[in-house]
Amino acid sequence: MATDLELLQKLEPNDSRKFVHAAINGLCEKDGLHYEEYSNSLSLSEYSKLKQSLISTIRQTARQGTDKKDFLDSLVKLGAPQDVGGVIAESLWVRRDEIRAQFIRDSASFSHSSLGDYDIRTKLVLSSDKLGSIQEPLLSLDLRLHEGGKERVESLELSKDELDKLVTSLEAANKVVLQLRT
Amino acid sequence: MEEVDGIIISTLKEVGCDFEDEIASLTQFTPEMVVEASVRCLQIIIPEFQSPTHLPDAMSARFRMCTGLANACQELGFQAEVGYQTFLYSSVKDWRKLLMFLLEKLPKEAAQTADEPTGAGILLTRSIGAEIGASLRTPWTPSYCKRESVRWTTPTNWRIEGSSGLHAFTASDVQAPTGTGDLQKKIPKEVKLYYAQEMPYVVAQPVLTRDVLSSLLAKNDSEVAAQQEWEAEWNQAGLASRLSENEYKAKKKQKLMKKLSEQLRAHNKAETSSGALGLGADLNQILSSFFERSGTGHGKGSRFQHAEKLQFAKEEDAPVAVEATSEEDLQQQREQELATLREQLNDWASQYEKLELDIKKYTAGIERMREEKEQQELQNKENEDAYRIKKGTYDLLPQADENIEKLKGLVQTSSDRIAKLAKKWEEIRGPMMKELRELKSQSDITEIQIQELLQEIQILREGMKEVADETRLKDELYKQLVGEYERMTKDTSRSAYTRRIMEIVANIKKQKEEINKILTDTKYVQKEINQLSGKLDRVFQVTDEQVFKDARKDEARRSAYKLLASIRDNSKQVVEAIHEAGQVKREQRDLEEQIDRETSKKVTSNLEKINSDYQQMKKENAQLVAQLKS
Amino acid sequence: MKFRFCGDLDCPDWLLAEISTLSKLTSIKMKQLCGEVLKDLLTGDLNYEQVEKWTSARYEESDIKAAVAALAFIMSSAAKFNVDSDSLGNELQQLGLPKENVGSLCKVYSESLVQLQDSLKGRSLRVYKLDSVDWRVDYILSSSSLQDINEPSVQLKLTSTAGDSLAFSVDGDQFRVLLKDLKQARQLMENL
Repeated sequence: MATDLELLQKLEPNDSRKFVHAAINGLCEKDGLHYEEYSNSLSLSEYSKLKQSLISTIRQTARQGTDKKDFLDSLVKLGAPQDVGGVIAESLWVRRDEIRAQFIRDSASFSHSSLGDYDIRTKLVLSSDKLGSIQEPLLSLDLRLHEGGKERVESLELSKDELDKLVTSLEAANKVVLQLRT
Repeated sequence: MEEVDGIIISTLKEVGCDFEDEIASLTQFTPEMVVEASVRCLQIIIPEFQSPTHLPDAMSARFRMCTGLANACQELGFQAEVGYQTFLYSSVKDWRKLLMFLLEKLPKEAAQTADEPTGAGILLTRSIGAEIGASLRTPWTPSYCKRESVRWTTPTNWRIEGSSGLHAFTASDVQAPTGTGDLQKKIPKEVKLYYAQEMPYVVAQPVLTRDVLSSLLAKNDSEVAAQQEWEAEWNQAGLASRLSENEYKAKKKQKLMKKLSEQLRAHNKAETSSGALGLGADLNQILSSFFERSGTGHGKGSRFQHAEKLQFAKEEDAPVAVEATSEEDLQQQREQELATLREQLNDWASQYEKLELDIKKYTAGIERMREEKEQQELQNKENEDAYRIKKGTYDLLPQADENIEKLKGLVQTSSDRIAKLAKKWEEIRGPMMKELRELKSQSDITEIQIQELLQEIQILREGMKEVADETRLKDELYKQLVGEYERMTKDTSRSAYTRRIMEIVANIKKQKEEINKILTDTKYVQKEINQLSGKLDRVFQVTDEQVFKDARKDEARRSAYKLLASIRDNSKQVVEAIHEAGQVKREQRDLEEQIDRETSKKVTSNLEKINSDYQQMKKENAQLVAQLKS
Repeated sequence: MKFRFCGDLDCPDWLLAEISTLSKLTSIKMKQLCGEVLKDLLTGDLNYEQVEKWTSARYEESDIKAAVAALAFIMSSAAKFNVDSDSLGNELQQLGLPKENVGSLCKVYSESLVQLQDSLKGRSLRVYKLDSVDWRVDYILSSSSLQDINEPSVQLKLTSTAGDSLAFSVDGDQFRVLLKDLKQARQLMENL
């Protein structure tokens, strides 16, 4: 597999660095690789081979530690050519924090369902079919849950008392989190 | 009239007219000023009204403009006669009437809003009401007329209707260069290169462009929250620890790691010693690597690498085996082989697992054995010691007395030596202790000082926060007050109005009193006149009767009667003459007043002016004709 | 004619027709019936036997139903539009209900207006009502995607009054932001 990385040498040095960074972008859920940009020097099958092996190599390498030398050693062990390994190790080192943050997010989302984004809206209820004038503030909270690759949106509606309850609970949890955070 | 003029002038100044301060009455007004005032008022009443605020130089243009103004006034509903002459050649009275009419028409919204009570809730309800009202008034438009459900009411006003243009708040991670603000800190070369060449702009980072804004917001929010949390923690616990920020973090991490690893170890021990190896091999591995890390700071988890390597090795083996057989028919065989290999692999894996388990067990056993051995050794040593002491005593037993003496001597010398040593010790100890005490007190003092300083820092930090809060509050208050002040200035004109109205009312009252006084005066005079004329009549009557009685007796008396009659006639004439004179006087006064009024209209001067204006216009016309011809 | 207790609209015809039915009751019976109907509005628990016992002397079965419906409408509608008992009494008298009956209805109504409005507010449409919050804080040591993590993560379970629960995990950073946002929202709601 790691031998596919040699394809990286077919690119110009600048392009190869660009390729690695774009792959990391894709890994971090950003706008990633596009074939058109490399279509001059790589065939489509080469491109997809390189992409696959590069991403899996990055995953394996970035999993442990944050040291540039570690990266390089690990890459050599995986069988990457020396100069290609150098480029990859450098890129990984430059973006170690970003990759680490992404991996932490990934790890947190292993559970059955995890919170993605959320949306908060405060509303003032004016009137209903039961009562002409209510004037009660409500908070509607949309939670976007990731469940095994699927997305589910759950809408909650909280009155002030309910919100108080939720916030007090979360505050208690936050106290524990604070002790654990370093 | 002065009060009215004052009100008019102050209002006109508010409207934006540029009058000089010494002008206090409409009598000082020039036609230019009247025109300016009218134009400004009209511009406020009719927002789309357009006209220059100053009279042009050319005569005909002047007429045109004034006619326009007059038309606008008539459209607004001005009752009295109005035309260009009202602006250019009119009297103060007409101007006053016109300006008062225009000022009345000025919108009074400002005064209305200032009256109503304000509060966040009420304001919100009112704005909700206004919004609902506005959307009820606007006609329905089909959704394809509203791009992204935005409805444009005017070129600059828009409102969201419906929800077709909305999308959920989804954010992804975005990165921006960090540390570029501080020139002192060197950015590593590679990072610099990445920032300069490879890093995409934040707008290009999210996969969907519409997520750019939400991603930025989320990023900012998360950073703000992290900073706030850290600040709070630092203020509470960090400062008191007297460490630098990094040291504090490292220490906290170390503590946490220690605690966690202790807990895990205890748990793990309990599990292994009870024989039930509930934990999977993987987890054990992770835990052991975690212990290593927490113990030595950074270690390298080896097991993962081993496992990976093993897998890779096998995967590479498999294709080699496959390549050896090249025949097509051997597909099945291949699969079989694959299956057997897989089975083998599974077998090996399970064997490996088992072996690992065994190793675990054995290592645990070894550990146990080692402990036992250590214990045994300890016991051994103890026994040996006891044996040695006992042996010594047994050896001494045969010559007991001598030995006791010897021992006593020994004891004596040792005690002497101890005493000596104690003395010496005291000698040395004394100054040392003193020094120690001094140092201790010194360190106490510094401790207290540090404590004080820390407290001071804490207080200062709190003070900083308070000041910041206060400034924010003050800023808000300032904004509110400015808003109120803006409303207030309009209020003052209102109070000025009321004050002037009150003054006017008081004046009117005074005038009324005076009028009443004059009325009673005239009544009194009338009464006197009546009384006098009655008295006159009665006196005549009486004299007439008396003289008539005597008239028959005497000729002279008869003539006297005749004379009386003539006196009566004459005096009647005199009274009538006086009456007439009075009437004439009154008429004369009326006429005089009329004359005054007429002269105030400045007819002659106006005529002259009109004449000159006419001449000028003629000239202009002639010039124009000449221009046309040439 | 417009009535405030009908939301400034015309009085519905069926109610006009039932006013005469209500007029047949004595004021004491009216008071008892009103009390029972109000209890029904508050708790949804109507004592049918009791109602029948009180009213069977003067009413057919259909009349009983109509009277209960009319009273329920009058009281809930008046409470909905926040009409005080005096104006409600005036309007009912304009509709032709005898003064004594109006008096007993208004007494019952004014005594429990606040309760009734609270109950109506509680029964107004809500998409979701939170019942309880459970949480657990985990500490992630390591995972298959990253060897050395050491970050806290929070597991949350929100249970609604309808009984369905929602469980999910939130990572530490997001939890911090979520809590901050919720606090901000609470501030906003307090200011209203």
